[in-house]
Amino acid sequence: MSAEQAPTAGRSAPWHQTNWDLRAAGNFVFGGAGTGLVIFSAFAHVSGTAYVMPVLIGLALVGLGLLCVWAEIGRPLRALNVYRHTKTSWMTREAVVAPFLFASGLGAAWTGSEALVWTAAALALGYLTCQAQMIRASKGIPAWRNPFIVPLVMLTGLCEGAGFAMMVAAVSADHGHLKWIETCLLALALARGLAWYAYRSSLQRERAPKKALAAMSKIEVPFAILGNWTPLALLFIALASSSMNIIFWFGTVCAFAVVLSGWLFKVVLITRAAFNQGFALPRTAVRGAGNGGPAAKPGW
Amino acid sequence: MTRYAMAIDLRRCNGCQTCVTACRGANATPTGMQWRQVLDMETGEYPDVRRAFVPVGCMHCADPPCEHVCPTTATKQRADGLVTIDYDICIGCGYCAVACPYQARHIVHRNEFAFGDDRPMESELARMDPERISVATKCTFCKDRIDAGLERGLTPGVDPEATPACVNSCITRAYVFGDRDDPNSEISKLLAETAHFRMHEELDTDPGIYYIWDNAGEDK
Repeated sequence: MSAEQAPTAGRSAPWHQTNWDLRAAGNFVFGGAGTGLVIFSAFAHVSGTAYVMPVLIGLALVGLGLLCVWAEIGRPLRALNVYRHTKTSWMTREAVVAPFLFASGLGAAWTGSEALVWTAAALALGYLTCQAQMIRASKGIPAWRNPFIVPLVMLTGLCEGAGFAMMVAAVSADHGHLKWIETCLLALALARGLAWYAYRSSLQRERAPKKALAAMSKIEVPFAILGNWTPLALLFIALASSSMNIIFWFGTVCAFAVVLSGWLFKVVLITRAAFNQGFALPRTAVRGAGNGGPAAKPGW
Repeated sequence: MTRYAMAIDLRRCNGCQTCVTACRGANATPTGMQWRQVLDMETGEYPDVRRAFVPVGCMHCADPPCEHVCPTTATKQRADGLVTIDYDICIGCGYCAVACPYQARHIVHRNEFAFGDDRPMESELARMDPERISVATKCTFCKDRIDAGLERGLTPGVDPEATPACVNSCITRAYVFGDRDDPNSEISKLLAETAHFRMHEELDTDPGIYYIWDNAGEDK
């Protein structure tokens, strides 16, 4: 029996963290998609397409994410205490950005001001950065503290934003701009796919609990293959086509696939792959007349 | 400067769990929550199999990730190195719990009693603290004992009244507590003459619990 298989009383091998569940994942799921959509609304404004609806949907998604967090915390009536630690806490910074994001986004939707749209987009990018850094700062969870998680989470949010922008354009019959959004989605999906492999290879290189690696392996097909590379191929076909039917249907299907796979990734990241550090011994103690034993790191 | 730290001699610990019980008694932690735990780890391959008892809890890191991420400043670090939680400020977001690489932080959302919700013991009712429900809690190194002892001119790690309960209770004297920055303290002397490590040192949190595994030697 190897050291890694050795039974241990109590919990020394990494186990699932239970403090953040689906509600916490909801913040990253909806917050990422919402901020991505607000960012795309600014580009939509420049290109002359409808932007009010995307901005409002984006803000609603961000609000839904915050509602999820509020439902998660143990003392919701003290929620405003979250503003007390801007110096080092990314959660505080996210909370600081949120009201300005809502104010500028709603202002942009109300007035049509280009400056406010871009301000909202910049704040949305800041919000998304806070979310990614929040995960990265969780030193107790090896799958989260990996530095590649920051670009991956941000690109996932941007992809979801582009996907939602595509859906809104499709629904609002704003088909003239589908190709433009599809081009953006294609570029972002390519970057997200590369970020995914950089993240996974970094996790394997720098080591992570076996169960966390297994959880990530399980979403290779639904997230990377079906949710990223297949839509990428379909988008190529759509962009090369002159048929509006192909552009419309391929684009819409790809948008759904990219959004749903991104959500799946974040749910798995926050819940299923969130194994903690566990405990390890660099050496085992000398007992009696014997020598010290080798290192033990169960579950890795 | 004072930097309170703990040394645990893994050669001495026999896994009796007295420290766990003492901690629960001293701090009245709810059922199912143990600020101090003793792991029972079996390692190696037959025939060289080993068993190690490893007490764990909050490491009172010098660079505590829990303090950095806490959005409310409920988690603070004192000048003497102790990492504390203000239960009146904490919102129970759990961010500190996922930031801690030592699994030392606990949040319970309801008070449970040892023999069931309908059969609370008098002592449980008397010591139940609603302020510690739905907020993060963890080992404090018995800071109240330390502070009260210091006010009376006592020395933590030397005088039992100013020393953490787990240290006082240890039947094998595996625990030693004191000021790591004082070269004359027992812990400083002990660390100077033994081979030791700290848990997950590669994460650069500068933990305050040292695990002794052998005497000091040139190759250690």
